[in-house]
Amino acid sequence: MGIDIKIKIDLTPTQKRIMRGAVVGGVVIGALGLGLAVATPKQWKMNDPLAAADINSLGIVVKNGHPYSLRATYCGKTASTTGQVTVTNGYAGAKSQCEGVTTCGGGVGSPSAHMCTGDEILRSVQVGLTVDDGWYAAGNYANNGGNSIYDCKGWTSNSLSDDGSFWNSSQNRPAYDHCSSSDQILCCD
Amino acid sequence: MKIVIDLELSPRQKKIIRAAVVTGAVIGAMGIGLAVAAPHQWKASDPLAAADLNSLDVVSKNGKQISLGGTYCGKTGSTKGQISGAYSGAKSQCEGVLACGSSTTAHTCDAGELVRTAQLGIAIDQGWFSTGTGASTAPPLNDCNGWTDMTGSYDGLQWASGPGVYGCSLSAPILCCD
Repeated sequence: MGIDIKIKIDLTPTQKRIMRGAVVGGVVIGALGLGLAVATPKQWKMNDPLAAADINSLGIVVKNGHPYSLRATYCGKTASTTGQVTVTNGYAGAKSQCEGVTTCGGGVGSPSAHMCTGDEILRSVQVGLTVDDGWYAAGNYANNGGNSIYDCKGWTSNSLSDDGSFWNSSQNRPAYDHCSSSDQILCCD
Repeated sequence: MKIVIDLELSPRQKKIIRAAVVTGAVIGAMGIGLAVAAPHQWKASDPLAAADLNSLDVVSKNGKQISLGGTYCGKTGSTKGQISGAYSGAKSQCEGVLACGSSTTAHTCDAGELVRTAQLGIAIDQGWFSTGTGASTAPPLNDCNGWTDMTGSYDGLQWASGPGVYGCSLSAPILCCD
């Protein structure tokens, strides 16, 4: 069964110049697209090779040069600190401390470790892990009748009148503590 | 510029192509139905396609897609706490945010995504985000009554270097994650 397909393109010199410009433009746009692809999660294409590193990275978000594990559970705790982990962006400061917690990386720390969130602690206790006393990040707001419970103002406050979320190990439940208190940061990975 | 495409088909070839198009449409419709119905359940010897890998961190339900493991990517225009279409309307607005690549998987940030973003050292603009939780503040704090209130009878959360409570009559962008 034969099918004849004829494609004939007649171009004037001007049209040829336009086509040449379009090809160059396409290459530039393609390069820009490649840059975007580097900045966003990998989008697989047909026949891409699948390496061990690709599989290992499936549960890891890498942004701003830092890895952050998904599907995480409790792995250890830092030394005690008030709710003022750093003066600005205490969240990043907390992650930095968690990366150095040796129990989170087989004795050497883990670059994807981070301050636990409420859902990660719930996951941990539901699978029977013991979670120690300590600060965790809720990203949420509540009021205990006086103080605001709001991650110690983004983990930048050591004030008695601000509060942060705190896991009560002996009663295995969420609680809060004043940001002037010294508690360990709970780390997950 | 002149482009001529000339397909010469016999009546029999036309019948075959017509049948192939109809069959393809039926198979395609079945495939879309399956994709909406449930996550891929793998069996031994199933081929692993690029699309399967790309969909691992995406939930597809009800004809919409939402990414898991998101981080902050951009913000919408300012709005009070009453958003047309409430939660799903807010997601629709996020899907149009250029900074998020006009991504069909973009959505309103939740608390966990903003905590993740902040821990990664990425700057977050001030704006509304969803928690899906309530608190007995006065007025009640409950995502502006599910993003339906602009009167100030309810409160919602805005991220401002951390979570903070704001009246729903105030205007702020919706924070979008992907």
